[in-house]
Amino acid sequence: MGKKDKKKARAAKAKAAAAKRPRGGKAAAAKAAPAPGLPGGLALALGATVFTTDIALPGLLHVAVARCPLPRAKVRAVEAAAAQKAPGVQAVRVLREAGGETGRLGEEVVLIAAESRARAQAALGLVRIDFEALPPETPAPAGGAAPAPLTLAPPDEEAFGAALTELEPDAVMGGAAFRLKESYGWERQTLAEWEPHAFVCEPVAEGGLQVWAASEDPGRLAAELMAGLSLPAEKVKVVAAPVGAIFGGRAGLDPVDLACARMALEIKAPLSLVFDRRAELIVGRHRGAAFAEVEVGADKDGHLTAWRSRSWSGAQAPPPLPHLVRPPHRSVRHALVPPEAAPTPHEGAEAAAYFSGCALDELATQMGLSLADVLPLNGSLCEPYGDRFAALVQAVTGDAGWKTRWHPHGDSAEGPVKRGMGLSFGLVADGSGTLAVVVAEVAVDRQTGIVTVQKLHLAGETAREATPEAKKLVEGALSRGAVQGLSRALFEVGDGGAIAGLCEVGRVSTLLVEAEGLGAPVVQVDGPGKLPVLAARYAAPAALANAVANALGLRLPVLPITPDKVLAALAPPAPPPAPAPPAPAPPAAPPAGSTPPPAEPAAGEGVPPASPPQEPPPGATPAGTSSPAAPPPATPPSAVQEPPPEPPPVPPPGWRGRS
Amino acid sequence: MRLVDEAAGGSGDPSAPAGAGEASPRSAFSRRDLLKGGAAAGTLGTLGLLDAEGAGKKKRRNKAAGGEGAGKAPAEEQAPNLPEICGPGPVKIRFRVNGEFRDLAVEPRETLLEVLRDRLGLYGTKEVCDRGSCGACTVLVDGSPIHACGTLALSVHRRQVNTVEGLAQARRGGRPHPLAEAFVAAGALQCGFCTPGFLMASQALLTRNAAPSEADVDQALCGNLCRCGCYPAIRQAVLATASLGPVTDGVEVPEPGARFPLSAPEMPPSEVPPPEPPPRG
Repeated sequence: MGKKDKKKARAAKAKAAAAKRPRGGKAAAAKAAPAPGLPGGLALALGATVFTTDIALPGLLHVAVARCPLPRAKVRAVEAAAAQKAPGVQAVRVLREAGGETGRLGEEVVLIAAESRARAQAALGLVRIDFEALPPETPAPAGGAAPAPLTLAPPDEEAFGAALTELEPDAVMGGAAFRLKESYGWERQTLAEWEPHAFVCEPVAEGGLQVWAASEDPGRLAAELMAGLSLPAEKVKVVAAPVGAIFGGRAGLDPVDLACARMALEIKAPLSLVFDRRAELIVGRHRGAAFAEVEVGADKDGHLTAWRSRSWSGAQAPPPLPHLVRPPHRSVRHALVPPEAAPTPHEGAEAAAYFSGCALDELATQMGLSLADVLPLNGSLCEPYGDRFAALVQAVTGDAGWKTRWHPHGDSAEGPVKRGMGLSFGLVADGSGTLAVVVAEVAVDRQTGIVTVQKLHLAGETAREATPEAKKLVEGALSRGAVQGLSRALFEVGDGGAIAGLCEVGRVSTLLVEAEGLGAPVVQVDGPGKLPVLAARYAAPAALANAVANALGLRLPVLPITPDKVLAALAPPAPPPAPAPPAPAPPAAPPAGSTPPPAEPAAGEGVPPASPPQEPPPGATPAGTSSPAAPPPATPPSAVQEPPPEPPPVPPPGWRGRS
Repeated sequence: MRLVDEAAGGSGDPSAPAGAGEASPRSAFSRRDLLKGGAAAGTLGTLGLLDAEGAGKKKRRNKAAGGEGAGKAPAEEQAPNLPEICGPGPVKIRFRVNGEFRDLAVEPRETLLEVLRDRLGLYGTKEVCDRGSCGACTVLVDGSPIHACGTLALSVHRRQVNTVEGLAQARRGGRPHPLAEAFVAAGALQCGFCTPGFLMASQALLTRNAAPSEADVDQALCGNLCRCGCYPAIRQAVLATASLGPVTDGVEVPEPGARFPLSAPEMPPSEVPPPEPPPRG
């Protein structure tokens, strides 16, 4: 706080005050320029980077948006006159007039531009919109898939596309010594980047428009603006603002951006639109749900021989199954069920890595082995990454003390807290490929259902010739990716916006294995270590799910693994005609009658001897034994008469009766 | 050093900020009694930041003020503060941001975050959740970390606020703030949106605990969320900074309960904000 600094600041302020502008713009001119003398990282850390949300222009107006609270509605009436008269309000635009219809949750109905965000928000309270709920439109997708939300129950057979087949999976699967058939899923989650969606536009000379937006692809943004506003290329200028976070594609326009741009051109004033958290969570981008039924076969020596999978998700592209470890005989099918959200780029591979990591872990359990034992037997199925992958598995299991510390699924320790270890792997098949292997150690409290991550052991690769700085970047990237995967696997529920915090992450140890002939792709980490981030993010969820299964002796197949799911899986089946207590716990487990018959422990030798002395909850089968796919939403056995008005119990999301 | 509350006197102090009572005709508000009796004072009082002497509330910080402060007659501490009735029009407040005095007329509903970003142009403090759950807007009020999004601007009247810009100004031997350097060196940021909040929370920790353990760091920073998952590196960066020695650059930490005097030093004319534009329509 030297005097000089003070003087400088004052001078800047005086200058700013000279430019006449409404409240809100003070010191904006000083701020609009990049902070002098701070290199990128420091500027970011010290808050000197000017994100789109931080842009202040002379005369900038702030936009608030009235949104439709229903998935589909008819607009009976819109009254915005009071808002127009509110203090500070400069313009109001009604996007859906009375009589119009809205077709999605959070659709924009009224825009208000005011001198400050607070005033725009205040004026929003004066807008009256009368909505009439309309039944949701049932899309009629090609293939006739059911419009019900995605669950572990696969859609109808005809929804699946043709199988992509290699060799003879059916015949080989039939003769496999070990065979596993299970379903897995990953619920819909928001991306919930910390940097909100923001769009700033300013009319410039001769009907042109200058736009600031955080976009990976300013060219695409400009093209969409030109098309939407019918402006020639020379009249649209897009300034690429710093992108705070991408998490799966920040490129194009949000529909309201275009409306905002039109409004700016009409009222000839610069506008700033920044999503608040609610908008971000509701209309922001999501990763759709994805599910798969996976069947894996292995011969008696533990070599994987066959793979059959059927996946269903809202994405056109199937999850690229199997992930990394590819049995020679394969067939893969996919069903596109009505998209609930636009898919994001990495959704498929992330889900595929999770499905594969879990299925192989369960198959290994059936053989009486751990996944760390089975993977080295199958190096030839991971080409061209076989040797590199084996080295990573060896390094990370050594670091974690896997040989001595891993126990068969189901911790036999006394007390309610069960510990477990799980392993999984991730591959980004770009260039020479980026690999990561993760071992997770967790403790699961059977009384609260809380999963505590104690430690993550990560292994990634670096080129021998990489500089120490580059190695450090890769290490940091692996650790970030694993933490992101952890957050998604355990904490992020639907639209809630919850993520993991510092206390939830546990300790992380990162190992780098020097690999031959990697060359540029792994070392080159522009967009700080993007590929190692992805590889670790792919690996962590299955490692955690496997660790939870290892601790409890039960598999929770659907991510995120939240305490309610753990408790539901552990709970004994509720007495059927439960007199409906205010049940804070999730819906009662399907009664024992509807669980699949405790599956044939046919596959011989390896089935873990009923080692868990902790009495398995009634109706539970040890994780890893084969059981048919999930039962449909089960109504209790007819013997017990339920009061008719009760709707059929919805099975707890993501838990199959197996446990 | 302790900042002594010299202006402590009575509510008749001429330097008391002009309140809504005389500033705005709209304050002849029919719900005056309601506001006076409880709502406004009670709300502010529960924040623990605003002394609600004006409304006759017991002063919360007496105990924290230590022997000397606690021994003072209450009347002496009853500095003229906010008017009894706050709002609904703008209320003048004076506070210090990063060492500079600021006089502002704020609406009672305005949050500190809105004032910092939209009124003072201090955009380093980020808004993410706007509901006190993510910690991105963490700033220090009298040295304690708080969520600026959940703090009314009124409640920082006569308090010292430190934002990340204060850390940016603080340079030791021409080098950037040690926490910022450590964060960058440890790779403790990716998108950088949460980082200013983390820096402030870390600064608060290091100010009160120069040699924190890992558990201390976890506890102090567990209210800040990082979407990019930099937690292990953040922990490492804070511990690395602590190992360098005490860090108090860019932060003023007064004695608990202290207030800077109302008869504040020079207020240069340029500091006085321009009058509110008249409401349109």
